[in-house]
Amino acid sequence: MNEDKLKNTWKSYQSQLESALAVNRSNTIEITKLKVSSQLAAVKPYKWFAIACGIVWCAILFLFFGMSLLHRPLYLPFLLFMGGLALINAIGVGNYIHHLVLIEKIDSSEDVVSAQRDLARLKKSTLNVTRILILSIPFYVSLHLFLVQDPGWLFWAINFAIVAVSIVFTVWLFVKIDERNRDEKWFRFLFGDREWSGVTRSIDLLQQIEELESGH
Amino acid sequence: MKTEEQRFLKIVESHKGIVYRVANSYSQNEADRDDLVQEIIFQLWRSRDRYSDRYAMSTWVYRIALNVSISTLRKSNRRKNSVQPMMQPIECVASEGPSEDEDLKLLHAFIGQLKELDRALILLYLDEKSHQEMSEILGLSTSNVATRLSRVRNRLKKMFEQERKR
Repeated sequence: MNEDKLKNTWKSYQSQLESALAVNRSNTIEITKLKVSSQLAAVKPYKWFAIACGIVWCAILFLFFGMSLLHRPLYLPFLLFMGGLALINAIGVGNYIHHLVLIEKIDSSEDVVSAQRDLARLKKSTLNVTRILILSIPFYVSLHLFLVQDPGWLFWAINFAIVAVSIVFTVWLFVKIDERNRDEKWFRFLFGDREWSGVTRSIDLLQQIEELESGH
Repeated sequence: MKTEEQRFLKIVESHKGIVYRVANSYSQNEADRDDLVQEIIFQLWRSRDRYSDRYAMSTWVYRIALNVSISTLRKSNRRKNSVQPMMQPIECVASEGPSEDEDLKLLHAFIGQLKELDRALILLYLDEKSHQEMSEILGLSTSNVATRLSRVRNRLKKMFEQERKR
């Protein structure tokens, strides 16, 4: 099909659409107003649930941190443990909320490449929230060590090995969770579900933008 | 109805074709398209104070329509509830003859296979926007627009050729 014919077909579609398309005036204003008033509802309920759980969990961790700070005699290992865990979780939850707010603030009237780049970068950076939260794995793995008394060398040997493995695993994940590895099987396995597809698509879109801007 | 609302409806009315065509090109079915039209109109309303007369009104509408459509396409969880359509064709939008109608269907199908930004580029090309206008809407240099557009057009041509060979 030659291009002129293609353009004519499109033109004819365009003009027929112009005359045949009817705007439902009352619906348009009513629904738009309704959407404006319920903008918060645009954030999906599971995201609110995730934020609420995150805040409650951080509050509990800080409560334990506060209690261990006031405890006499001061038990430094537990204090550092709770402080570290609470801090990691607070940074993770704070980042998550910050991202949601920034995503909502993106200006759709900007040019397409700028707006989509900002949005895609923000989406992509939710990977960083995951990386931060992953740092708490060794803390959870070693939490029970504070609860046992005089367990003996075998217990310590086994648990030392488990904690060491969890640290290595955490560091590996922290380093490897990166867009460069998005085609790896384990990455697709971890981030391949529907909730994460927005992030992987954002990474693809950023690549498209790079290609467009470089003229390739 | 307030003056502001009337003014807004006038803008929607005079750019309804852009909104509908963009939404149609970025959705897979009618329900998605109605949803997308609603979202685009909502974002137009939300951004109405940000309109700058440095650009044509159509540039502003294209930007919002394309941004909303690309963002929605990226989101994995589309809404399953059907929405009340804000605009609808009141009669079947078909071309004159059966062959042209078939071409239009093919064109829509091929556009749907393009990547998000290439799709935007070809839509603007078919809507006969100049390279300058495309560059303002997309935020690319005119030379990048020209290079990429020629590639996308070639791709589209090949798709039609392959279809004809079948």
